[in-house]
Amino acid sequence: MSQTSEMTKPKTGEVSWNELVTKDTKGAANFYGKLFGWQSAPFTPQGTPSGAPPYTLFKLDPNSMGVGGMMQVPHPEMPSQWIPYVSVDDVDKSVAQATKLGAKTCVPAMSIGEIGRIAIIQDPQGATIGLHECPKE
Amino acid sequence: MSETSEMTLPKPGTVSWNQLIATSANAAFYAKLFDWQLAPFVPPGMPADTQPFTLFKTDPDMLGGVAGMVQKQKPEQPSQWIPYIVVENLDAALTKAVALGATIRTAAKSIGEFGKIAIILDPEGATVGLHEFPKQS
Repeated sequence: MSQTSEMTKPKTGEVSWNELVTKDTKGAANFYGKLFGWQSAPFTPQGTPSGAPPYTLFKLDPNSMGVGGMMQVPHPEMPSQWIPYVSVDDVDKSVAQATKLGAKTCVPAMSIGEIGRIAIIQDPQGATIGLHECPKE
Repeated sequence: MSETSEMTLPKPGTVSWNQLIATSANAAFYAKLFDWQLAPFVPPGMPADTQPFTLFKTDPDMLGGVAGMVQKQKPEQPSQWIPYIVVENLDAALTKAVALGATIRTAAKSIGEFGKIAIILDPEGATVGLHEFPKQS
């Protein structure tokens, strides 16, 4: 989920990805496509559990991983928003630590196939942020 | 605000920066969760009385940071993360965004040597920043 076409593995503590969660994926694909020149491409990582929600990559270059991604809001009550993902060594440990520090879990740790594991939390003041663990080599 | 010491400017259409809007209490959460170090920073070229924002660093020696935080201006303002997308011409991008159904939340303003930024709400209300780097001579 690197932001470069080289798929450099993000270092722990770096922002590895930006994701739009929206109530209107079609409208957003049009808006961001026209505003930033992003092309929308459907994406299913290899090994994604069945029943995973459809995912869209925003690409400047059709051969790259893309500059970010998009999916439907995971909960109907969640407002449309952009979520940064920070690279962590162990999603489960980070979720547990975040909870101890006062965060709430929005999306519990889950596999996203070859891309690794993610979770989405709300920090103690309510800002939403993702946690991303790359697959172990 | 580049994330690399080579100061390669990110291309138009890519994410240049992730900024948290929150109060300083929230910075401690991120410092503990991601082992981020906090450093006050005023972009060169900003007026001397500018309130510093906080750089989040994974290494105290890193130039720039992995993300940043600005203080909320009003307590009732929600805490949130905002990604900034590089545009070639901020005024033109704002005009286009509004024509596509966006709302301007923060009008274009200077961020010193790093150029100009603005913040918009996309048609579904997701917050996203626009960032124009200074033209290189």
